[in-house]
Amino acid sequence: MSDRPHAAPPATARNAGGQPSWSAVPPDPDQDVVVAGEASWPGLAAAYEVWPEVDATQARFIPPPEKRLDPKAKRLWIINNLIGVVIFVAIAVAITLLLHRWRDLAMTWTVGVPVAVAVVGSGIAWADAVVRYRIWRYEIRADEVDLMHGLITRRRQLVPMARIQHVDTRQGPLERHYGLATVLFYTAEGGMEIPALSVEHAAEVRNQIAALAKVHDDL
Amino acid sequence: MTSDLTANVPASPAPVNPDAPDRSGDGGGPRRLHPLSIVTTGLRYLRGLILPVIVVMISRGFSGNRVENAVTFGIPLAAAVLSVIGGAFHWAFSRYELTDRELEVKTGFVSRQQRVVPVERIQAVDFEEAPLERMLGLVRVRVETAASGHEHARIELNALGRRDAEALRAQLLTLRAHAGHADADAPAATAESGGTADLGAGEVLYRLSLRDLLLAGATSGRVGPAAAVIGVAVQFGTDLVPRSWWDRVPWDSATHAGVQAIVAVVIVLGLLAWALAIGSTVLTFAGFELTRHGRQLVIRHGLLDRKRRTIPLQRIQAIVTIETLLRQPFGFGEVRIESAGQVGGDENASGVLVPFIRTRDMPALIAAATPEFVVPWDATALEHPPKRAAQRYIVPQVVWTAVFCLAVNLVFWRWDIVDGIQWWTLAVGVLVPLAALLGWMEYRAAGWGLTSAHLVLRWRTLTGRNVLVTRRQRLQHRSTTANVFQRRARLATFHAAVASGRVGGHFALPHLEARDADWLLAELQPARTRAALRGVAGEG
Repeated sequence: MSDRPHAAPPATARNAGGQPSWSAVPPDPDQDVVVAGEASWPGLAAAYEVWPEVDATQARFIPPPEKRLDPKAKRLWIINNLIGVVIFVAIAVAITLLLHRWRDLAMTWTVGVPVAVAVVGSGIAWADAVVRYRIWRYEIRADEVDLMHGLITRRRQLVPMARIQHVDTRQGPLERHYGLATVLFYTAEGGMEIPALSVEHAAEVRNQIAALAKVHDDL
Repeated sequence: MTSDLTANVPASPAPVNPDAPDRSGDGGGPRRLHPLSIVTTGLRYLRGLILPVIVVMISRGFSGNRVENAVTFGIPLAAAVLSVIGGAFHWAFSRYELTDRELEVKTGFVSRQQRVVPVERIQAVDFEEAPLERMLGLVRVRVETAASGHEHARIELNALGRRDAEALRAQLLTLRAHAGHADADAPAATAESGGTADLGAGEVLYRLSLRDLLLAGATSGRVGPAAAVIGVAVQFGTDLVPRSWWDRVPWDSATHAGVQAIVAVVIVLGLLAWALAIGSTVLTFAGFELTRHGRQLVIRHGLLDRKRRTIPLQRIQAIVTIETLLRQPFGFGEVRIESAGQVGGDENASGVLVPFIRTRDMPALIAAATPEFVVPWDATALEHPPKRAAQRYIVPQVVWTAVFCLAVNLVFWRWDIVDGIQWWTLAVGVLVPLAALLGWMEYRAAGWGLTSAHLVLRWRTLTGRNVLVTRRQRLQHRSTTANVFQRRARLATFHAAVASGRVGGHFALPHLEARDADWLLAELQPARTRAALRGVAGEG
């Protein structure tokens, strides 16, 4: 194998703008992802303003995905989260009732704690859904699926089309109520999903991925 | 990936054998298993029945009644007869057929099952011979396919005669080489491997000497499981010892001598666990031999259960070298392969390329066995996480260890297990600097490298240092993650995943410079990989 040493470039070259001299990458017509010189941003920084200075001349990164989920995702997730809150409230009621019975817990606590859990929980449920919706981004590119999501741990994930083995859409009862669907796609090492797209859009995305992933090859 | 591979492998002049693909498996239609499989399958059924039979027999007990006793003894007899009948049915209703495109297996009497595997999906062919099977000249054949870790992703033929098994394997692998149109080097491969039926003797790449075998056992991580086994055995043992014996032990007076006795017992049990670890390693890896037949690797090992695994080179997704803490100081390590068809089995042995080898011999071995994974520069040239990441490797380790030490002391103190606070309970605290040291070593070990064809990741865990080498096109997906703290420090964790039948296909390198992680994401795009490979091919 005529594999000449082609180690990673020094950090300065990686982090500076433009096309570094070390690169053996010739100008590539079908490289539709990053055009040298075009302003692009480090993926994780994009949706998160805490990152201080980002050099706009950097072209060594994939531009962050931009497509968003259906706005009804917020409502779906709020309901989903509220179901969890109801369970917590039920647990709180059970515990406080037991304590009231056996340990003479004051009635104010017995009522107050579950109410507090309900209020705080609903607030978290709402905030989580809204923020999660604002962060979620995806993009179906010609050769890759690009995902970015996550509240506390932000994940940017790239899945080459050629590695996708099959795609499908799925609809739970709540999703059906809101006219939403989830697109799931699988590689030989695990599956990924794009949740809460409108039914028509989900079908479109599914067909798009299926068509682009068709160029199938061997493992 | 077709173009990726063609770009990488020098175009082969070998012509495609025109009449090769339409030679079907044996032309003779569906075939049966070996008749003696009735015995081996029956025995396996019987093995499954042993426990219930014993339970039933014990629960019935032995009364004075003769008829009752006869029934009780009749149960195992019935189980044996049933097993043999089951084995016979299994044999009578099992067929396999190899056409030029697929392997088809029909089994089952009550619920008929028919399974078809396209030849190009075959990942590996495994042979297994238990001692009895070896005596009878039988082989258990397992064909693994690329359906990530599903149990039904594998076809098992209970017992074939040795010659049938060999023939099947040879045919499967030759057909596979022809069918895999995506493998640009397939025609060359068949030419190398001698074309059709026989794969030839092959080139022996590695053998495990007795000394290495014992060393491998002595330094293996199996001490832990072995200790657990012995622990359970001791538990049972103490239950069996009559109570009156325990009462005779002078517990109260045994303050000093008691401690000595406990230490002695612990040492003896430890040595026993160690011996058990060595023994189990010898059982698994005795007679280990790695050979290469053209484009196939054959791995043989096992003292009682002889195993032989055949893996087409194209199926190997990644190579991982592991130097455990016990082996690294002596300059030894292990080489594993990730291939998409690893399903269950002996976790310790399923992914092994070589179980024990001198670290300095690893590059030569990899070059000989899996040349696609030779990285042209040496591992010290790796890139590292930035200095400010070091604390992130160290601090969590220290914090968790400190919490653990405090908890231990708290438990001792709260429940009066020892009188007051003893120096040796506080001595658990030495773990804290050790944890810091481990964190520092993890930081030092963390590194990554990207060549035109390969991705290299190096990291350390509690057990040892690992180096992953995979080809760029083998990545199933890749990602970066950054939690709130990492984002504030502009660090990110890079993740890469290769196909693996087990759960172990994911690899992560924490706390890289966020821009480096994003750069890796971008550089591993299919388009860039193609371009990089084209660049290399152009120069070559």
